[in-house]
Formats: sequence, structure tokens, C-alpha cells
Amino acid sequence: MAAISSITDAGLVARCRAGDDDAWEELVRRFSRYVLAIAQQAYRLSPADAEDVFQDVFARTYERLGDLRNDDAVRPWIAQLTRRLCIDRIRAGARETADTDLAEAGVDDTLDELDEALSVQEALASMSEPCRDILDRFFRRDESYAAIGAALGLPSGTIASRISRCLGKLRDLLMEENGPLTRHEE
Amino acid sequence: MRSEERSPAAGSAGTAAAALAAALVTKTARRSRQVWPEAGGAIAQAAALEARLWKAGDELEASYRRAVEALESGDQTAIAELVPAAAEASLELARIAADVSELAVDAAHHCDQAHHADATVAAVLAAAAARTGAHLVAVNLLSRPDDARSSEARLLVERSHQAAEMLAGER
Repeated sequence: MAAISSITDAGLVARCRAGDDDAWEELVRRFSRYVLAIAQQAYRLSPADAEDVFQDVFARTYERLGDLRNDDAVRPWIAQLTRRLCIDRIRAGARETADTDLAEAGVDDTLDELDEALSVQEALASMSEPCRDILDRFFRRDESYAAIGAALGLPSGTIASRISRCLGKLRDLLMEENGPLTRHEE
Repeated sequence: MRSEERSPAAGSAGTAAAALAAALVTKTARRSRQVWPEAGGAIAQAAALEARLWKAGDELEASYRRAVEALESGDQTAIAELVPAAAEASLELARIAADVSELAVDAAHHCDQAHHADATVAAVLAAAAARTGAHLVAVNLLSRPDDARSSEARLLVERSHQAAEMLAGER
């Protein structure tokens, strides 16, 4: 059986429906940062409110996963659920942004960015360990070519090429998932 | 840059040189997509390095201002803390510039050869920036020439200089 972290969203949903506890843990792990990011970045909820939304989202996901018609669509389904609960939280708090239209301003753009980030994260997770490691070191940890070379036992002069090759693989994975990328996305 | 103010000065000039080098690598890669399938990877790396450069440049100027203020105040504790910090910021410029020079080598070896000269000039500019960073490390560590940062800076200059010389010798 494939490692649970590498199975598709649809496969994960099927296993959750079958009562697999490990699958539930993975579902929460896979989407927890996404849910919190929607609450905090798109709706600007406080950490405490975002945590409450987080708990509600996964409690309702647990109760209502059977209602999901297309298992591949679990991510937008969770996003929609999160949006609704964020709006409820804002209304309940009687904040000055209780106007739904105001609270929703800019949310679509932020959500698009979060979706893109999650797609990249998922594609990265499905890559080989050496590629994942080298991209993480360069783009996330801001390590120099010399530092990466020293850590991985590779000549510094080969690191730029290796990163480009891994980015090419990442691009191919994202294109498989989402269709051709725009130049900006490249 | 040409103002009478103390800052921005040498550190920003070095940063700008390295950023220009990264931009030239980007142009080289953009104009080579037909022959270089991984050109997009070089473009992404150049963008990441350029972003790091501007951040490092800001830190370099800020650390320089703090170091000069400490030196002017004569506060030995502040001098001992802030002058080496300026050296560290200068070393970061040298590190990033050396990476730009290596990326330029990668670009020169894979690009449409009509743009080899652009990649070569990128390496030359990056080497100049690495040397700028290393020189500022030396200035800030005048009393400690055997400091590990001085040794690292010398290696970075050597690496970037070799990259530029190699590319210049290819045409």
C-alpha cells in the first residue's frame, strides 16, 4: 500500500469514509495550514478565532464528508466550508467588518494564491527526496550553492543545474495537475 | 548614490552590480527558451538571488551606518558588536554575488550561444560585486585578518573571478 502521505486527495477521502483513522489524521495534516491560512490571511481573523474556525471546519468535515459528491473536489469543498465559517465568526463577533461584502473583499485573490501554494506543496511532496531537499534548501532556507554542495556532498558548480532540473520536474508535475502554466507562473 | 549623505555607498553599489548581473542571467535565459528546456529554472534562481541581494543590501547599509555611529561614539562595547556585524553583512553580499556568477556559468553553457557574451558580462559584474563584499569584510575586520569571514570572503572572490575568467576565455 502506498504511503498515506503520497495518496491522492480522492484516495484519502475514500479511506476516511471507510473509517481509517490514519487517513483522518493525514486529511487534517494535509489541509490544516490551508484552513488556517484562509482564516488568518484571507479573512484576517485573530489566531484565537482562526483556531476556533479550524476546529469547526474539521468537526464538520468529519460529520459531512459523506455529502461530498466528487472526492477529487475535497480541497475546494474544505475551502468553501472554511469561508462560510469565517463569515459566521465575523458576524458572531459583531466586528466592524460584519458587512459580508467587505469581509469578502480580496478573498478570491488570496484564495487563488493559497491554492497555488498548496498545489506546489503537494507537487513537492510527490517529488524525489533529493529534488525536494535541494529546492527546499535554495528557495525556502536561502542556502547558498556552496552550503548546499557541502551539505549534500556535491560540487558547488553543479547545484544551479540540479535546481533547474528539479524545477523542470516540478513544472511538469504542476502541468499534469493543472494544465499549462503561464510564463509568470514559470 | 551621488548625494552627500554617508549612505547609500559602496555596499549598495556592489549590490546593484550583482543585481544587474542577475538581470542579465534572466535575459540570457529568457532568450534561450528554444534551446534550453530548463531556462525557466535559471530564471527562477536569478529572481530568488536578486531578492536576496536587495535584502542583503539594505542590511549592509543599515549595519554600516550603525558601525560608523559606534566608531564615532567611541563606545568600545558597541564597536565590538556592530563593526563585525557590518563585516557579516558584507560577507553575505559576497556569498550571493558568488552564486550569481555560478548561475551565469550555468546559463552561458546552456544558452543560445548568441547570448554567451551576456552571461559572461553577468559573471564579470558578479565577480566585481563579490570583490566589493570581500573588500568591505576586510575593512570591517581590519584588526582581525585571520577571522574565518576573511578566509571565506577570499574564497568567494576566487570562485567568482575564476567563473568570469573561464567564460571570458571561451570566446
